[in-house]
Order: sequence, then structure tokens, then C-alpha cells
Amino acid sequence: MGSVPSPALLEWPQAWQDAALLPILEDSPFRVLAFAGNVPPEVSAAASSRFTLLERPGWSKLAEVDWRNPPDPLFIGDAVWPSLGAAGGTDSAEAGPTGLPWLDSNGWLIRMARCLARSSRIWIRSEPPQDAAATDASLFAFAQLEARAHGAARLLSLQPAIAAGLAAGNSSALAWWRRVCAAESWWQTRASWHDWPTCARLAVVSDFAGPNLYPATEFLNLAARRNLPWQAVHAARLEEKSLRGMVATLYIDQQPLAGPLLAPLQAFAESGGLLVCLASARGGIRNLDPRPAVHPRFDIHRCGKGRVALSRGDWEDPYVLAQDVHLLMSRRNDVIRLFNPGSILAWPIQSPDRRRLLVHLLNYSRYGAAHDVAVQTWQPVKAAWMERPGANRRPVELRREAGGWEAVLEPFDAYCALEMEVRPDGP
Amino acid sequence: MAPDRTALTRRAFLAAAGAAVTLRGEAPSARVAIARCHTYGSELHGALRTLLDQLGGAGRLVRGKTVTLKINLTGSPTMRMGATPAEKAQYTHPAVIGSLVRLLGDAGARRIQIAEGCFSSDEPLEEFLLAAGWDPAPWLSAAPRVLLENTNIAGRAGRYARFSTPGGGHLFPGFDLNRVYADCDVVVSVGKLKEHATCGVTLGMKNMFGATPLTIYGDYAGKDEPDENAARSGRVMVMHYGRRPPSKSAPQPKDEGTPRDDKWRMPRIVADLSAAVPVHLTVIDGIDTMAGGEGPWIRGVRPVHPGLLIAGLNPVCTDAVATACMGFDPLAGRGTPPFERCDSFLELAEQLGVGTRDLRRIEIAGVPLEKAVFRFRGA
Repeated sequence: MGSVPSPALLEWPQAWQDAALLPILEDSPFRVLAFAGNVPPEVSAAASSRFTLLERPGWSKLAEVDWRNPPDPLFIGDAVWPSLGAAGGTDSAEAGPTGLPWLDSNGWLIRMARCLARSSRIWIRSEPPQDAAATDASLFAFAQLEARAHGAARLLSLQPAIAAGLAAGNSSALAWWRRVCAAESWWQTRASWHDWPTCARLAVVSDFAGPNLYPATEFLNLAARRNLPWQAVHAARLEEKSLRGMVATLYIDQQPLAGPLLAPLQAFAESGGLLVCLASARGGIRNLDPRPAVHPRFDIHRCGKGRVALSRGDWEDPYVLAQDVHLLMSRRNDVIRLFNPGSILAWPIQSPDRRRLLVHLLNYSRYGAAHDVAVQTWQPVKAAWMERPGANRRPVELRREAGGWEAVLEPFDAYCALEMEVRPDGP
Repeated sequence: MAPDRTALTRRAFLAAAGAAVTLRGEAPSARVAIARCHTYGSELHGALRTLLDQLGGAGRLVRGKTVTLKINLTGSPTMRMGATPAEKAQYTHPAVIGSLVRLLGDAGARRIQIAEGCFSSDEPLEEFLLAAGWDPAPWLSAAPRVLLENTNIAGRAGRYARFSTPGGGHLFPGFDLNRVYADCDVVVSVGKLKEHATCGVTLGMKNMFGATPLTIYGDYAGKDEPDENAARSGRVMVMHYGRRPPSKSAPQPKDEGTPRDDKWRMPRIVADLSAAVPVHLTVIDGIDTMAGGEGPWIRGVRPVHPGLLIAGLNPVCTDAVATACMGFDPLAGRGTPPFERCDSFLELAEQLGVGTRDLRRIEIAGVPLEKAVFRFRGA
């Protein structure tokens, strides 16, 4: 993940025609201003020396991005507003296929983009909710933090009421603004986390295009929902070193394995990895020794020191596929385990020297959990700290349980980072 | 004392139990042993061994036999009461299971099958345990030929076994279950000492409710046949409230005109199961547990430390003694704790002739009952 952090981006409200409003932004972390049309000349003259001005940024849909030659910067315009999915018009939460609450999240999308567009700065956008919560600063702060935790920045669009309030010097609008700026500023003091790689043991290989796009992206989304981190690898750039440190590789595409894809995946399986793919996409994979059939959807083969799991049918249900892959590779390989996760999604990253394991925890309900949330890892942990906006960095008590070292977190309502000092050569 | 069931086949045992009721007009009784055990550490193994010895020895029960252990892993593996690990609250502690496997293996069990219908899932039991933060390896190496089975599905056998309730039962004339409960000689229920929202208490007998496969009795069960892809969610629709029947292939409940109330239905189902599936040994983990309900999802639950292990050869007798250990009267009926809002499955099972709940007729070994009482409510 070699890209630089994307600067904070603010959409200049259309109602603001007066450069005299620029001082509102002066001390803010938002140094890039986006304009839906031409930059008003007066604003351009006053702002160009202190801000980067973007006219009509080229927002594209995820499906339109050419992942073979991704642009820099990359503007993804079809992100979602991060939330606990609510059934329309009711108070009840919408359930996903698992019975778990459905979460609208962008972590998977940003992580995928960062894997496939390594040199690109990434911005996302989506329409804020059009209801009473639209002026809730915590909602916007959470949306900014979600993007930051995964290595992108979210375009901040001021709701008309907020834009007008700021222009009028309204105190509640200013309080809103300070809260959102505080979240963004907090993140900028932690920019070093940006380059910490995902602690993943699963690689997902695809061309992320055409008929493969839906199963690939849904898998990434739903695997993330299981708190199963992954590394996305573009099929055109697959090399043996892309799979180093991985326990399993999912080749999700329909096209039979052939050409330059074949050797790295064959080598991966033969050296002890698990390769999962469609039976119809097995292509030139060789040295398969069938094992007795025990899995309802896969035929398992030995291949050298590893295994190849061939799906008998097409990928019909991405959630079932995410579950199958997780269990085929075994939870024994989970980097972290969460207890009482509720609507929290976790994503583990590690410092380049592998001595620090950092877990981003995003609480999509934005309410403190009913029971204590605990994070467990098999890696021996020497010390742990919890950080979140608006609170000091605090040590977290550690305890040893049957499954490993465990940190019990203080209640948090939206986001926290758990940093653990680990012994990288643990069992 | 009850006849030596270990010398009988499981069917013969059941017939004998029923005959006892018919001839004497009272349900059979068997010895129950109580041990004090404060931790899941080094004292546990000895305490369990003593319990089994007080019941006549594990060898008499399992030597040369295939044993199925039904353990209690109720609810999601990632859900905890506060920061208390599941094994110290709602789950049977893995050390109890591991120690029991070792003792049964040492006593000559030919094969040990550890079984549970994993919450809302058809995944392998090994993976479910890992999700709870448990490592199944110690169990698998604690005795020769140990295997794990998620009984929500047909599993290894690929088909189900029919268990008929003698006399037709209160509600269910029979059940279709995973074959680990049929392809064995001895069934052991390894429960937890807890209260229960719909059954008053959950001990060894209520533990067996988790044996009912989701493919047949789950909310998404197949209409006509078991649906092996439907092992998700719970058993609320079919079992708790009777809003839909189990798969037609299974014995259908006699519930026409009966209350669609889980506090009426569930005790009857537990009683019927206890009659249909003979349990030869019950072991109850009451070392660290919870009071106020069976899982963290119940409001007001709290951790407690009774420091007890209880075991017995008759499921009703064992649960009756365990109920008394919790500070309740096992002869209580609906309206009296712990059955304030539900019927007593102990009473219902007694009516089916499974065993007596009358403490005067139950021989207790080990710690005297009056010294073992840990009041789950008050005091």
C-alpha cells in the first residue's frame, strides 16, 4: 500500500458565492476544495494560494474503473453512507442473509481500491441521509473516520442548512463544523497508519471486471462483514510474491486458469496453501489427488503440500462463499477474534516491522455495545492501547484466555483503534 | 435404586423404566453425586473421577462402547455476558468436557462422539469452537477415536435416526435426530447449572433440546423433508411457538388446540425428548456459571460461582438434585420458583416415567445436599 494519504476534501457549497466565507475554512484540515462547476473567479483569486481547487472532479462508478490502469487520483462516486441498514419506513433493523444486521459499509471498497490502485490517492462520495439525522455531526464524523480508517478520504458535502448556518455564523452550525473538523484533524495526526499493510491470510484474485465484478466485490464485502481480512490481487498482476504469507487464495473468476496465472497458483498450492476456485475454472491446475467427499459444495484435492477446493457449482450466494472460504481455510488462521461485536467491523493492520498490530474498530450502530467488546489474538501481546477521537490514548488491560491474548475495550460509540505491541515470531 | 441400565440395551432400558412406573406406580430413581470443585484447574479431573466412581465407575458404563457427549454451547460463540468468557457463564467449560473425554477414554470407551447443534449454523463443530476461542485439539487427543459433530444437520451419516417417545409423549410422539445419538451405546448430557427463561432451569435435560436439527425443527426447516441448507437461525417458529410444523418427514406434534406459548410447549418438548432419547449419564458443570437466565441475552443475568459438579445416571433425578442445589424445590409446579411462568419439565418427565424428582427417593453421594446449596436467587 504505497499511496499517500488523500487530503481532506470539501465540496464548496453552491450557495457560497462569496470569497469572504473562506476564513471559515482557514484553520480547518480541509485543504482541497471541490467545485461542481467552474470555480467562481472571486473565490479562485482568494483561495488558490492556500487551497487546492478541483473543478468537476471525475467521479466514477466502481464498475467503470479500469483496474488495469487505475487513475490517480481515483474518485469513487458510488460509495454508500455508512450505517446500520434500516428497513425502509420502520424502526426495525434490516437483517442480512446471516440473520446479522445488514451494514452499509465502505471499508471493503476502499481496501479493494487500495490493493488494485496502489499508487492512487482515493476519494469516495455518497449522498448523506435525507432525514432528520442529516445535520447530526457525529454521523458525518463517523463517515469521515470510516474512510480514513481504511485509507481514503470522503468528500464532505455540507447540507444546505449547515452551509447557510456557517455563512451566517450560526453557533450550532459552527459546533457541527468543529466536530467534523476535529475528527478529520485527529486522523491527520495518525497518518503513519496509512501505510501499515492489512494483516491478511487470504488473497482474492480476479480481474474485477465484467461478469466477475459482482461475485468478487460481494465476496470482499461479505468477507469483511465476517471480519475476515483479505488482500485483493488483480489477475493481470499476480506473481508468486503476491501470495507470500497467505494461507488461502480464492480465484473467483469464471475464466479457466491459464497463462501467467497458472504458475503462481500452482506453486502456491503445492507449497502448502489452499486454492479455492470453480471446478469449471480449474484450467491447467495439475497434480490433484481427490480426497473423500465431505463438503456439501466443494471437492477437495490434495496438491503437493497444499489443497485445492473446487466448487461443484457456480458462485450462487456470495455470503455462503465467504463462509465456505473462511471455514475451508479455518478460523484457526483468524488474525483477530471479536467478542460481543454487535455492529462493529474490525480490520487489522500491522506495522512494517510486524511489532505492532493495530485493529480499526468501526461501530456502525454508533451506540456503545450492551456488553464489553473484547479483541482476542493468538499473537503474544506485551501491551495494548486504545485510541479514539476526543479521548486520550489509554493503556488497555490484557488477559490470557484459552484462545489467546485478549483486550477488553472501554465502551465506544463510533470508532476506536486498538494498538497492540506483539511478538512477531509468536506461536 | 434403578436397575443397572448399563447392562441393558438402550431400548431395553427404556422399556424397563416404563415398566417400573407401571408396576410400582412411581418413576425410577438412580444415585446422584455432588462434588465441590472451585476451579477448572488441576482439581477438576480428580473431582470428576470421584463423581463417576461414586456412580459405580465409568468403566461399567462405557468400556468397549461408543459414547456420545451432548455438550451445551447455547447462543453465539462470540456473545458474552459482559467480559465473562462463555465457558464461565453459559457454555459447558471446555476443561470439563476435556476431562470427561479423558476419563471415559481411560475407562475404555471405544469411540467418543462430541455433539452439539451449533447456534444458527451448519459449520463444523471444530470451527464453532474456534470462534468461541477454544482449541478443540486437547479434546481430540484426550482419548482414542474422538470425533466432533454438529448435529444441526445429518452430518457424517447423511441421514437421520427416528426416536419414538414411549406412550406418545406430551407433545412430540417422536423426533428425528442426527445419528450420533443412535449410533452409540451411551449418551451423556454435559450441561450447565443455569436458570432458563422458558423452562425455569436448564441442566442436563434441557441441554438435549439442542440436539434437534435445524434442518427439521429450525425456523427455515424444509417443509416436506429436512433441508440441509436450512441450518440457520433458531427453533422459535417450530418448537417455541408452534407457528409451523417440523418437516413432514419427521413425527408431527400433537398440538392441535394447544397453547402457542413457549412456556407451555418447551417444558413438554424437553420432557418428551428425555423419554425418547435415553440419557445414561448426566454431568452438570456448576463451577462458574450465571444466574438469572441461560445466556447473556437475558436481562439482568450475573456471573455466579457455585463451585459444584453434579452427575447422575438418571436425567430427571440428576436435574432434580441440581435444581435443589440451586436453592429451588424440584417438586415445585407452575407458579413457584424456578417455574413461576412455565410448567415443570421435571414433573412432565416424571409423568412419562423417565425418573423421579422426589428427593426423598434419590440417593445422593458425595457432598450432602444441604451443604451444596447455592441460592441462585436472593440470600
